[in-house]
Amino acid sequence: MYTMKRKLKNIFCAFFVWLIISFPQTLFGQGAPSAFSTLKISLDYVCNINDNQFHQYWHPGQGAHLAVQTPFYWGDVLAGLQYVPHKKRTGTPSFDSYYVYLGWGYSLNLFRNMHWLNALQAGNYYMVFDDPNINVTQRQESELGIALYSSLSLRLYKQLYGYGAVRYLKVFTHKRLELTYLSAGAAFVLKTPAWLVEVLK
Amino acid sequence: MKGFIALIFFLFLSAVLMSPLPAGPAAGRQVITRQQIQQAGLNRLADILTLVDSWDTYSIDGFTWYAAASQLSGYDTQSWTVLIDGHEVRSSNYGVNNLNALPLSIDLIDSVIIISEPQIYRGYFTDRGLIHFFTKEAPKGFSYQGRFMFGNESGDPGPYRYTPYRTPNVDRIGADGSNYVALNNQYLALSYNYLQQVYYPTDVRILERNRRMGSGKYPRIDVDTYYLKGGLTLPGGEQTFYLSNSTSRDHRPFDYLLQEVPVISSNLQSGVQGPVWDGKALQMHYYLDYADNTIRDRDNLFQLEFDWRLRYTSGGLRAVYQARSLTTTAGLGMEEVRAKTASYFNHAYRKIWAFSSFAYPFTRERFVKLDLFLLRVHNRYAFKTALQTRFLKSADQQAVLNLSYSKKLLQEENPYWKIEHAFYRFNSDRFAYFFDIPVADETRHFTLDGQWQYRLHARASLEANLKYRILRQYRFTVAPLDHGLDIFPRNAYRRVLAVQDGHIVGLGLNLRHNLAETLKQELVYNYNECLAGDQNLQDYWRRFSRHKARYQVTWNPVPGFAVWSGLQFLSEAFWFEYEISPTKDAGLKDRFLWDVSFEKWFWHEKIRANLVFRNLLNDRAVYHPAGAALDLRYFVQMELHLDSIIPFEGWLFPISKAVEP
Repeated sequence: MYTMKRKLKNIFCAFFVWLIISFPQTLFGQGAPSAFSTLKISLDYVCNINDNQFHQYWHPGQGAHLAVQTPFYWGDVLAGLQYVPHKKRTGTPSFDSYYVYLGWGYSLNLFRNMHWLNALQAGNYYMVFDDPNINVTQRQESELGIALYSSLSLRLYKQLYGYGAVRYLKVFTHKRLELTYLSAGAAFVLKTPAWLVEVLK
Repeated sequence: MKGFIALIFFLFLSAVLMSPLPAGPAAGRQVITRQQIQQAGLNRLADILTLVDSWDTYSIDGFTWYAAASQLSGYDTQSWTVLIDGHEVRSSNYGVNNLNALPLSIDLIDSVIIISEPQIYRGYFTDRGLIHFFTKEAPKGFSYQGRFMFGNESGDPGPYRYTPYRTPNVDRIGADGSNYVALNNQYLALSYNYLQQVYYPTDVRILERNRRMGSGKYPRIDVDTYYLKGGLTLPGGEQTFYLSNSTSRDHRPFDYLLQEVPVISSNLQSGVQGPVWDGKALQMHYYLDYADNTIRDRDNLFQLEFDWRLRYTSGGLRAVYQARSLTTTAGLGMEEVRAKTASYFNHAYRKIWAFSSFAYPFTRERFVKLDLFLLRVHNRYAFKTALQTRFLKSADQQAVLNLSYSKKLLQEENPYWKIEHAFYRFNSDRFAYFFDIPVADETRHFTLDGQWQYRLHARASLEANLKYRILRQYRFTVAPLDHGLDIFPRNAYRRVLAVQDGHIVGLGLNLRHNLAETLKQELVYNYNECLAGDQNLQDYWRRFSRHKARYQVTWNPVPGFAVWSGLQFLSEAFWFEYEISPTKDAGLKDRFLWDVSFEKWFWHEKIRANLVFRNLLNDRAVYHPAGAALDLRYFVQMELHLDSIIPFEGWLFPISKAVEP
């Protein structure tokens, strides 16, 4: 069963990477003249859905995710912060996790008002332990986290979007953390201020 | 007296053969530009060595890198020359030549020239290799530049720290920071750079022994440096000066002790240089340098004490005469080296040298350069020479052949040899120390370097290299860092070995191809092997990877944005002195290292952001049997470039040339 799961995961990852890079315009297409032209600010509710050894020690609670997405020369760039609290299950301390990331992905227009974004994200998975018995210098920990992200968004009204997403996050601790999240929320698209476009370009 | 006669001979020969000048061949030189450094996401000076394919490197802690230049020597001497803006920097301090301790932030580097073949370069005979850093020009007016970098190595325990799966912590890298201010007006140019670096040698493989030797303190390396550079424009030309200091608090492996000992090393460097005569046909330059390197102890488990000091005072003259087709370079120099310890030792010696170089195009297709160098140390002489010939077959094809002979004296490679000998004499009862008799205090090297360059078409070029080295009376040291809990381990030893005759061969291939205007790729392959010689030498040479390959792609789709990816392969290596070790593995396995860097400029190239991933495949990157495994790491760099905030247009100009012609 474990091997089957591993195989399915690998197939999913390979398909995902293929999905991003298989569009020729993604890599060799014309650079988008609209780079940084809009900002898509999103806020969503996050919950963890997988179950592995990590979950024997901690129970991930309900979290939140704030992100900004803007068109890049190719595809879109994303930056965001995901917060998820983790309650202890055994003698281990509880901790809050903050995943700060940068990402790049490509958005497909499935229908007129529906977009499918697939992205690769990399960032810092920052952990803050809340046990007062832990030495102050050891209450914080950070590690590299790389995530695959896929979201489906639907335009609800003018610049307002509703969307759902799935994120598979791998944290490169000595014993890896593998966490899969489902999220749902709303996004608002606005025109990037001219001064900000100047800075970003 | 003999030296004086030789000097007169050189000057005479120079005077006789003077005539005008063609461009010299650039074989054996690699130039790394600022753009290459930035695109590859290099964040410390020693990272530059990763782009130098003909050099071999290793590190124990991941911060201090040891290098051997193009099979010209082994790892044990670390006596390759380092120049910054034309000044020699005595960065090699007691067997460690740490580029990361140089007083320069990497964002100030304009270009780097690496010499990997014996030849005369700016008055230095490069038979041990040479690296020359050129710093950026001070922009007109007043400028500021700041840099911030931090990184993290994967493999922390994370939340599992509080479970049975607990593992030791692998700490973050940095944060490093540097500040640079510069003022450039019509007569005076001044720049000042302050750099601070932090590194935690906390890899699982080295953490415990570093902590133990540091009296239980959490291991940490700190490097603080400053670099003050100035240029004063006088009627005869521009006089430049510099003053720098570098203080490192690190864990230094001492051959003497076979342990890494926490020490504070400090390198104070200063110098002036400028033209004496700047005519159309004749240019003469002088330089004066002073360096003061010290090592002091930090709190350590065994209360070992250090108070060692090396002082260098040197000066020299260099003249270039161009007449008709011949270019003649001649010069002389002197250096006094004083090695001392507080209690026992005070020893000084003087080095005097003279050199001459003749470059002449016999025909349109054939160019010849002859270098002659004579060194005198302690009434002993060492003669070095190189003959470089370039054959231009067509506009697309050329071959360069470089032949050299050099005699190297012990004092050139090991300025503290007397302290070393005294130390062993004092401590002979404490640990084993072998000399393989006879150990010569001079070695002779013959080298042959061939290079063939072919431009396949407008966007692709191929380069093939051949190296051959004959080492006579070659001397090297092995000292395994393989101690237990004793101060001086019972089983460990330090061994000085000498071989009568050794033959090293090397081959290299380099293919560069621009797939498109925005997409470049490069493939490099190097092979080396000890062909013949003493068994000790053959064993010793196995620590260099026999096969090395690197493939890199640079994608620069729009101005201000670049993606760089490099895949490196290092074949297995074997450190024979660890063969009997019960705790260390003498063999290092094949390593595949994949690095990716993303670079983006913002705000009209005033802000630079760089995200780098090293060892993305998370291969077990071990470079030394007792060294750290450099796992997957990432680095974030931010730079702020505020050039000419106050420009003073119209009456200012830069102070120095960035890349020498």
